Amino acid sequence: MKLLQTLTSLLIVSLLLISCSEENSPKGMISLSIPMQNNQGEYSMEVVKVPAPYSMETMNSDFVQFFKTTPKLRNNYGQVDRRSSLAKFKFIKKGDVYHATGSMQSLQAASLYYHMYQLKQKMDQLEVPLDNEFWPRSVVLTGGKTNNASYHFVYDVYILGNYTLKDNPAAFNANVIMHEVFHSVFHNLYIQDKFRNRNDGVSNRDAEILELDDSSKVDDLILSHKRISSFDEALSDVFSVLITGNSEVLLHFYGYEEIGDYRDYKVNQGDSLPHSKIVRGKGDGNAMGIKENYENAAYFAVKFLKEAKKLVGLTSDLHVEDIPENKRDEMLKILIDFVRSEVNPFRIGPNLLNSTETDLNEMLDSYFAKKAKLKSNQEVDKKGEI
Amino acid sequence: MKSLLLVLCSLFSLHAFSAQSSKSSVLQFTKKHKVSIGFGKSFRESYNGQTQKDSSKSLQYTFKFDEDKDLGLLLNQFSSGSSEGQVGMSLNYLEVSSFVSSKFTPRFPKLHVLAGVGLLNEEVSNHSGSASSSASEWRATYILGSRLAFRVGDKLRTTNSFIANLDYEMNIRYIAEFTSKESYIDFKVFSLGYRF
Repeated sequence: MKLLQTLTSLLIVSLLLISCSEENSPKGMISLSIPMQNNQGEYSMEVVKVPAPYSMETMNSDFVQFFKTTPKLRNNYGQVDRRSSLAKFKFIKKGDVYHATGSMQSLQAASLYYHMYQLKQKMDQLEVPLDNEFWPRSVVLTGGKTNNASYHFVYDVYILGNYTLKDNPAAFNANVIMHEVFHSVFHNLYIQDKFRNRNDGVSNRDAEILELDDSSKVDDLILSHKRISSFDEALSDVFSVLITGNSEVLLHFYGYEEIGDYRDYKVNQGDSLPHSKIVRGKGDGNAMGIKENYENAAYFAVKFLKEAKKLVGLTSDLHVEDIPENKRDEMLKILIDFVRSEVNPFRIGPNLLNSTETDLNEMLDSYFAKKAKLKSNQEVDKKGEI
Repeated sequence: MKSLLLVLCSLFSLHAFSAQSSKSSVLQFTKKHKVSIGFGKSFRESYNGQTQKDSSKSLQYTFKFDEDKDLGLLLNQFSSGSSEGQVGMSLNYLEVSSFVSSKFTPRFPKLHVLAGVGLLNEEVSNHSGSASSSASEWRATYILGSRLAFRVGDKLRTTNSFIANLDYEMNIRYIAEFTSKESYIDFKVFSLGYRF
């Protein structure tokens, strides 16, 4: 009996010590153990440094927040309420390193936390003119289509689906994450332009979308997005490979079995637009099938990369993996400039209502011709000064 | 603070029972000790409402300090794993707990309710491709549950002394961590004990 009493006492003393030692709100920079990919798409566990979240339980910070399900747009009081479905995670601290535990969602959150931090740093460094409401980014870890990830522009959230294939799940695939991120950057940049001239100074993007009192305006907004969806997909891939310096990984994701190697940016996609005659008129925004849409997207992406490489002084056949980071940053700036100055469905307005893919192609040609001419003039001016 | 109070209450209860046991001079029973092995299922509900069902196995020692009351020590183990593509997580849990169980009501003498405190070791191994990283942590838990025990000898009407000392037990326990909202339900479908 004495042995039992001793064991019980020891157990309870340990309990007291453990109860008192919980650390859930670290400060400063912390280390996270997450799966990372190399350029060949192979994984390893790596320790990365990130700023401490407000709480390890929610992993919320000024650059990302996680939700269990798609947030409700409005609560009973008509306010945008996202706190009701915050996701929660669990970590074990070993030495200085936090290891995700409890469920795969904790590991997914850790990975996304790191990639969103990388994104924030890159956007700040490139001075991308995103509005103040862009941060923190919102992520929903369940509920999307299987083996896919998506960006929902009304809720302004990234939604991940379950992954059943053998390769790289979306939450750990930097290229897929950055692809979805660009949809929101793209959306943010043109929505920002749309509302920039408002007189009341309202800046909350969600509120602005909700303020579209006429539902047909929302439909127009969605249709505008669809009209340029091959561009949206193309530029999202371009953004993704330029941020990560890796074009290989997208190959293994959603659709590659059905659509072939359209995302293989090492393969020449041909010299002409694959599907040029499909009209994207009002009311038939879905007229183009997913295969045609993505094949055109691949063509646009390859073309953009080729032209941007030339513009920053690289040979057009250089693989993304071989482009130094500073050159990739220059190309990212060109991408942002292109979106802001050219690909704005609201600015283009009625012209885009009956546009074809050929019009989009011409838009791309015209932009790079203009930029090449500008660069050439600048070089002539420089020589003149000498 | 709340968790500390709970631990202190549990500590007080355990010592109160222990004290009662040492004062008992005339015990109405002869077989005070029992060792059991059990198999069952553990249901683990994570923060975001996902439920994981894992097989569990246990080794339990109980000391009967009163006709209707037991003091027990339990080792319980369960593990689970999940993966997505090349990335996966393996979890291994080891629970060490101490509990007091008492007859619920004289009408159902075989049904006991139990309460206790314990430590749960969670060991995680995250793997990605061929690489992995692992860590573990002990967490304090409190336990509430019930036990339903039958004497195998009574059922089989045997005079064999070994079988007469065998107990079949089913138990269900709710295990909750003090410092987080994670909880577990451990259901021992089959537990066989030997009294000595």
